[in-house]
Amino acid sequence: MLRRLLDGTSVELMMYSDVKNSSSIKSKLMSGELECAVLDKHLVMDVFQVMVAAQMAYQRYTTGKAACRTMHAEVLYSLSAMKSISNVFATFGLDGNQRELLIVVINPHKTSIEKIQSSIDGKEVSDIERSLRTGYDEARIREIYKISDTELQAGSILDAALSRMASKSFL
Amino acid sequence: MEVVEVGVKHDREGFVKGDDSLLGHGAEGVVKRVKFLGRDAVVKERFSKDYRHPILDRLLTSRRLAQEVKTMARCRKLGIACPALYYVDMDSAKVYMEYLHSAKTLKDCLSEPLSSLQPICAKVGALVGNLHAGDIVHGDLTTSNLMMRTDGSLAIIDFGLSYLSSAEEDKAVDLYVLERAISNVHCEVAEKVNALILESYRQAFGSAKQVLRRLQEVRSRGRKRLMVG
Repeated sequence: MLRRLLDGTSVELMMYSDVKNSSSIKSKLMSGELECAVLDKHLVMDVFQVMVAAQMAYQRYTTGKAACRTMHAEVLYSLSAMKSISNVFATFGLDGNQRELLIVVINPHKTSIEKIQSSIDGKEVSDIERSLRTGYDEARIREIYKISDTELQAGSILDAALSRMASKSFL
Repeated sequence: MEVVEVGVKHDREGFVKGDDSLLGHGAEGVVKRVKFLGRDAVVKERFSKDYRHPILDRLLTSRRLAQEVKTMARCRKLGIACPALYYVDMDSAKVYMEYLHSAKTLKDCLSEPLSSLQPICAKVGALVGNLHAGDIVHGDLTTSNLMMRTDGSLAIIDFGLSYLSSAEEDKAVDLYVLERAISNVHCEVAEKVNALILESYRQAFGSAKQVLRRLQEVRSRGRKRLMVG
């Protein structure tokens, strides 16, 4: 699924289920062989949420304000409400056991996409939008973003997470 | 940032005229309705002022923006409905936030018959009471900054002048500004409406009594404290 950031930069989103080789994907990510962000799909509630994270990462990276070494790592960092970088990867990244993955590629090239596709042993999910909206882990998300019952009176859990991401650097 | 009434189009500086997406235009910035990454959103952009020294200008702009974002985040944590934050772009001084679909301002709600105003006033008082209980002072509590949504819930917008304070004085002035805003536009129902609002304010906020005592004082002297002596 191809989407665009504010300045027109393209972002490719892909989703896989029944992934059997997430630990080999993890080592390829760490060695820099694969250029993409790989997320646990249960922690993302909407395509919009991951697009906002991509926008933040892209903006910070291109203006030299990134906290991480690569733009794709910065996507994970943007998704988090924490300022600590090591925690971010433990939370949103791969631990080698996940079977359902969401993949984000900013500025995708045909070759890099093909490389990613061939590295993943799993089934591609076509309706990403629906899969995210219906399959998220509410309890985990509330724990990660520290969302209280009180806060849910002000709006949805998605809005609460988005507000956390956007205000992280101001608190 | 003070933002003028929603829907009013200003031709000052020319560029705003005929722009349908414009929601408000104040002394420090513009508020527009836009599509942000595929979703309806509101963007608030502060423009730079040529008459200020560039360094000071950047500092003031970024501080005010940070202040606004901070109070909005705090507001949501306290369960007080305000637009969700989507994205803050410090480099261009823009804040993207939730667009409240088909919401009506309190100003428009107050032109309904008096009999139906009771529940509305109760919500206003409760919201402001919760705000003050959390030590948030809005700074520009007007009837255009309170929005009634279609589901009957009330939300508060425009945190441009907001700040954190536990001072009774600040909270009393906040109430006074609201009271005046209501009296100025809806003089026939003002007395009743204000009384209803303060009643639910008292219920929502434990230290309301002290603030209301201070409100008496503010009423007799006006918003600004005299700086003589």
